[in-house]
Amino acid sequence: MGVSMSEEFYKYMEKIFDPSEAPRKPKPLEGIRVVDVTMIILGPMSPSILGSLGAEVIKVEGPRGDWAWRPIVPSYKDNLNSGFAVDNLNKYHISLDIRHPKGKEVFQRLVAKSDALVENLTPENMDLWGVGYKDLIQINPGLIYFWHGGWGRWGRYAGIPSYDALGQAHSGLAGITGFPGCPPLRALDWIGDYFGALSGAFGVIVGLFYREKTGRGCYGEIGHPENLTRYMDWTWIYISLTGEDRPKTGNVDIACGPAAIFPCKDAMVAIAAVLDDEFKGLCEAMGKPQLANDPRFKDIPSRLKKENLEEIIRMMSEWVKDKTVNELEQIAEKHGFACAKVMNVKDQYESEHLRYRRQWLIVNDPVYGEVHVRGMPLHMSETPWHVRWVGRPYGIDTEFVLRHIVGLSTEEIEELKKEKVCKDWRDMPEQLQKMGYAPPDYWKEEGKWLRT
Amino acid sequence: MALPPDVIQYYTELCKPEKVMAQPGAQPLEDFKILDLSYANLGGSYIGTLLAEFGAECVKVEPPSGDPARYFSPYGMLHNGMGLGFIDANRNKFFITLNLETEKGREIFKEMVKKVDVVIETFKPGYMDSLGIGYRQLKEINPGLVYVAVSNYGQYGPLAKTNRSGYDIDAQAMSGLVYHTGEVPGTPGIPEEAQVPTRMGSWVAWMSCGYWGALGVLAALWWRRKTGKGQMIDVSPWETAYYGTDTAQTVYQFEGFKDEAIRERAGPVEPLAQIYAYFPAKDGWLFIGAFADASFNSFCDMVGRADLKEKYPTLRPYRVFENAFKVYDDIKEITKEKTIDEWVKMSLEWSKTHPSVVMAPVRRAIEVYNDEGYYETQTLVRFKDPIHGDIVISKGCPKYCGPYQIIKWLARPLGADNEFIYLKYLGYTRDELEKLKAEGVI
Repeated sequence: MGVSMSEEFYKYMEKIFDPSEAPRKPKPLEGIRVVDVTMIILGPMSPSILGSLGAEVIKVEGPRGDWAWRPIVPSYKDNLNSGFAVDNLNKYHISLDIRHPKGKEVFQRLVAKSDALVENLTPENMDLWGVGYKDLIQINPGLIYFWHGGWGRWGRYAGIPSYDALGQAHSGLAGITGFPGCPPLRALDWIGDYFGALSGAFGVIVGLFYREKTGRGCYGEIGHPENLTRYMDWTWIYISLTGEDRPKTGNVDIACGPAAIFPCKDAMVAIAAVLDDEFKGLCEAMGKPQLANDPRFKDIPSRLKKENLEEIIRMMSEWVKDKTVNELEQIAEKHGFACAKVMNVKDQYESEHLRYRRQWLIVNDPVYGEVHVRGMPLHMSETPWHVRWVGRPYGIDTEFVLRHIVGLSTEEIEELKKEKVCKDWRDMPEQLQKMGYAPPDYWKEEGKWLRT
Repeated sequence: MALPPDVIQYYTELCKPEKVMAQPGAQPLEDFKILDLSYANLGGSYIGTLLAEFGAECVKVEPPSGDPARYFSPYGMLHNGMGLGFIDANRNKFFITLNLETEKGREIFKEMVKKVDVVIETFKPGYMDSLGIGYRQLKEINPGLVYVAVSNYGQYGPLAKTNRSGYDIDAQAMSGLVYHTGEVPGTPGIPEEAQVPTRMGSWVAWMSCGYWGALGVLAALWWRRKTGKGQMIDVSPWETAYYGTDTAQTVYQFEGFKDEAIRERAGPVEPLAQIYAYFPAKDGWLFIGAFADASFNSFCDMVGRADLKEKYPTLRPYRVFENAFKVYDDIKEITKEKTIDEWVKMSLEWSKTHPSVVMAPVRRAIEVYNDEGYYETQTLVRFKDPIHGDIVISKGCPKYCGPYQIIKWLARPLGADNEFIYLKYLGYTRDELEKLKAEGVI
């Protein structure tokens, strides 16, 4: 016999998802132009996603730039801020004061030539400046206008500012996370931002299909708290049926199990054995094959019953205590249940799997050289995403965009610069230049600053 | 500055749900048909649900024994024979049974595939292929097909062949979310067993997988308009949860791959920006966000502690990493003095005339459940389901003045829509279905 069926399958998968082909393949959103008036994380991320999928994204920064993000996260390389780098992929970065009458006019011309606009300023600003949805839809009736933030522009919480950790707090997500009797616990990571941005990118494409059907653009919005309520799965049904708050259960998943995270000999490890076969495998691995036939553990509903679940979780925690993660993973491999290390960033860095799948992605950035970011968790065989560059210096693409996309002349651009309607990093205070605004210092040495 | 009343008025009118839902085009995905084969994996189920909420026709295909996820529920609690997790994760779908492990079942499946746009499956990589109904084979009978495969280790790459199964919990474990989250050792008042890396309370890996899958399907369908070509999409809940982890990778690189640069858990504190944390108030927990220099100074002025402005004069380098907990400890002594309500009111008032200081309660789920504000905007909806009765669920998707996210019904019994769907798609009569049932095909 030659190759087995499944080897053929894996070969085929390796071929259609070949990561080295990604830059050359087409992108699904080619031809879509997105104007990005965003700051910090939640706003910038959703155009980042669209940009990685091929949309042309133009990030418009005001006279102070993205002041609440470029200089915030305390880790820099060659003047590049780690946070800003990651959250602004594949964008053209222009500086434009849209409150200035001339800036506003240029902005309107840009919007007229675009498909979507994504913004996350405090919600009164755009309307106050005369470039809100109601103004821009006159200029471009097909525009998808999308706002990110807290609670949007209507409803009783309208206008209240928000952050990721606020979203985790106000939605109740922090309230269902952690151990019984302990304080509420937020994900240290900004999942409200990243998952919110994900909804936004999804939302913009829904808007494109709407435009396709109706010929009209639309206004859309998503905020941290409301988005995170969706991430709380059965919480709301549970409360409506029982009248009780959702219990906190620490590291035990009480709804899909037995599944928990345990301390083992050398790390923390997650183990789950949900289906009958997996559970049988686990019982055999634990040296207690008879448990699989025990009426208490005969099927999923029985195994999830509180007292039964607690019993099996107790046995599992005893069993893993003196084993290493490696041993456990091998045992799980043999018996077919789920087992995984609680990985940190070093484990991920060292994971060949993540590296190969472009999840630990090394971008060869034209300005900053090698920058390590996490890739997008979406593998498309025909139209894979591609990251050409990370966040860029303040105002670096102003001329390019104004000339080639908006269609301004050199004189007009010079005029705008002179009146400080358009700026760049050199207009910022020295200290700020080095905090996320300027290109690397060696650009200056090589005379490259003059050529931008 | 507050949102002016006329702006609120404009958007309230613009986005009024009753109006939006009745407009033409409110269901922009209504031309698309989906077969959802997700099995013991709600990450896959959410994909079809999200698309169905914007109009797609989604048919959930289960083996005659049912999707084991039907029992995914807190402590096994069942409502109308279904788990609460399953009820929530499967909305607006039609439910049919089909045994793909029979020849006849596969024939029927292939006929169905010719008539749909999307197939979603969550089996072990290669399972569908080994039955002759994987992407490789299906694209031959439907070149426009978008085929989504969900699994923690993906369809390609060094770990794709693993025999380990995958759920939300191990996806979270590998993502970094768990490692980064949890109380710091030595925190007073926290039992030792709780001072460990901690999972998010809910299935965030699965839900994010749902969104990424749905986004991928839409991107693929958008591209298909131009080319007629479908494609295969590989989504991993491990990776979608990992996507939620900040800038940890970049910081690790920028700090020279040193162990000190590994992101570590920090309880309620944010090591990358102060102040941005949960603080104890007199009657519960309070979020404060005031991390740009102007906001931090504004906070100090608000609480009458100008000395803290001098102690931590700017974000960099005084209020970062090593100082994070010092700043936190200083501020927590202040926050204990007032109730959450007092603080929130004070910060709203103060921020009208000063750089913004953001405060909000850290709420329990049941408090959110009782917050009418969440129902006004349809973030949560009270819903009368034909089977499950009065129930509250979250919408949590974008709200528009154009597309409308509709909730028609929640999960239905096994095979509930066999008659309707098989008649609609393949013209089968009730008698034919009886026969197929007797043969174990449906």
